[in-house]
Amino acid sequence: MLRQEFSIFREQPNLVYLDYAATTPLPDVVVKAVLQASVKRAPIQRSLYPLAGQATAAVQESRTAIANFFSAKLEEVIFQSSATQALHQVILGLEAQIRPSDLLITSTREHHSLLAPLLKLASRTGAKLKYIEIDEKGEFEDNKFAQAKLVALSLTSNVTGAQLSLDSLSKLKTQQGRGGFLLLDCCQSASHSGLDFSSLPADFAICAGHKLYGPSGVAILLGRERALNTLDPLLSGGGNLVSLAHSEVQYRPLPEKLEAGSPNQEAIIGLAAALNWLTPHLPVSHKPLRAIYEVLAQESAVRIISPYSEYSGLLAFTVNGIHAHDVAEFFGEKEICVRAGQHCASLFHQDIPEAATVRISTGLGSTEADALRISVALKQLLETFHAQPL
Amino acid sequence: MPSLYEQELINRAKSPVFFGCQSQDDTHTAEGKNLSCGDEITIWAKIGGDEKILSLKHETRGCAVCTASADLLCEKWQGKALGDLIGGLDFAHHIASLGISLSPLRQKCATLPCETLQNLHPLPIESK
Repeated sequence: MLRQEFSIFREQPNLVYLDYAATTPLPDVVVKAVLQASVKRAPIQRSLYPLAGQATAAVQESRTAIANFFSAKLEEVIFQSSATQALHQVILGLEAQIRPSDLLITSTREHHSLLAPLLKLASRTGAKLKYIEIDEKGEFEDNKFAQAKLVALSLTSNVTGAQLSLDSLSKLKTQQGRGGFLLLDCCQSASHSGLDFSSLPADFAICAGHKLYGPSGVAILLGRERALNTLDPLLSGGGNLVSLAHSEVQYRPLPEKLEAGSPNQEAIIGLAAALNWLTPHLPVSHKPLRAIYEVLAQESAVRIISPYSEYSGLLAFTVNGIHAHDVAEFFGEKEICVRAGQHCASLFHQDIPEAATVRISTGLGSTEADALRISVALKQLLETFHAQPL
Repeated sequence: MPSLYEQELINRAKSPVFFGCQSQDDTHTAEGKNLSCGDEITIWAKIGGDEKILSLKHETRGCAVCTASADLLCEKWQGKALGDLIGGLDFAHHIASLGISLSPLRQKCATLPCETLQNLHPLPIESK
């Protein structure tokens, strides 16, 4: 059973971990890879002795493995320290391209790490920012995409699990053409079904390593070469320059152009090990989530916010009269780990009656037996708080 | 590990004694919000001429910890001097007085009412 491949589940066999959307536990093989990389670490692309050469080769091999996982070219894979940094690199890296007459498009279901730099970009450039409506099935209408210099959306909502329609995205990109860019935050997508960047109708896609059974400290920015070359590097100096004179700098070509600073080699090598481990388990079964969905759907005091989605592995719900924080804390006392709050998506929560929601997200350590634990804990919660039906 | 949700906390959260909205007598107010979870609180106060807090009410839309904390805070500070709020509101002491063990993240639920109360300001004349 896959749970046995994680130390945390061997050490805490009663733990029901349902917060994969926040971060995934580390399989033992990844912990081992990180430890080995730590033991052998040396400067990457900076020193000439064999140890440094071996460490550099290990990072290069990891880039190849990661590119293969995403069906991307080597120069399309950019290492960043986090998905937040990657989003900032794309959005703010386009600032020089944006005019006050330009249109930026997003939606209210987005994560703060996408919206915050977008708001900053609009403020700095004077460009107009438009929020489009996306229905619960991930469909959206034509919204002047041909005029949009940048469309920034999450492929899968980190609150509801609803995934954007790939057909709609294809039409969007066709309308936009080469005059604009489509950025997809794919942090909630790749760990369940992989991500084929070669066929994705987007210019940029971003995934977080720690949500892919990899270590913290690395994210992957995938980009078409033409699109990546339009970005101004947000960071400069440590490894991404080919020359620096008194009055100018010249950047190295991709991918190094956008990878200033010493790379997090332990995390990169660990991520390659994680993706190697993950590949044979894709697509991830959503039977555990389905079983939990059915438990929640039977309870009259529970409102499920999201439609059940086969593709995302997460759902959000509320309990009548009991704040999401109290649900999560109560479940935590029963060794059931769920997430509660606004999930860094406050605009989304302004559009629903509840101020906060509980999110359940399954992954490769989840089983259908988790639903029974949820069922028992839910009954105890409702008794303790004397909850009423909706 | 003892549960956070002893009946006393739940009862205080479900039936807060000091829950209320603005009335004509109120002279001061403050609002607070926790962005990460959506907890919101508004506090209404009537301050007497001698700067004594004559009454305190709160309207809390939040978790049980936040609501119970707000209610206990109003109970503690009603009748005290307004000036004592500045520097006199000990957040750590208030958390300890709740009698429950809170994680660092959950402590923010308990201290949101404290931060709010410290920001009491006079109501605009037209809103009275």
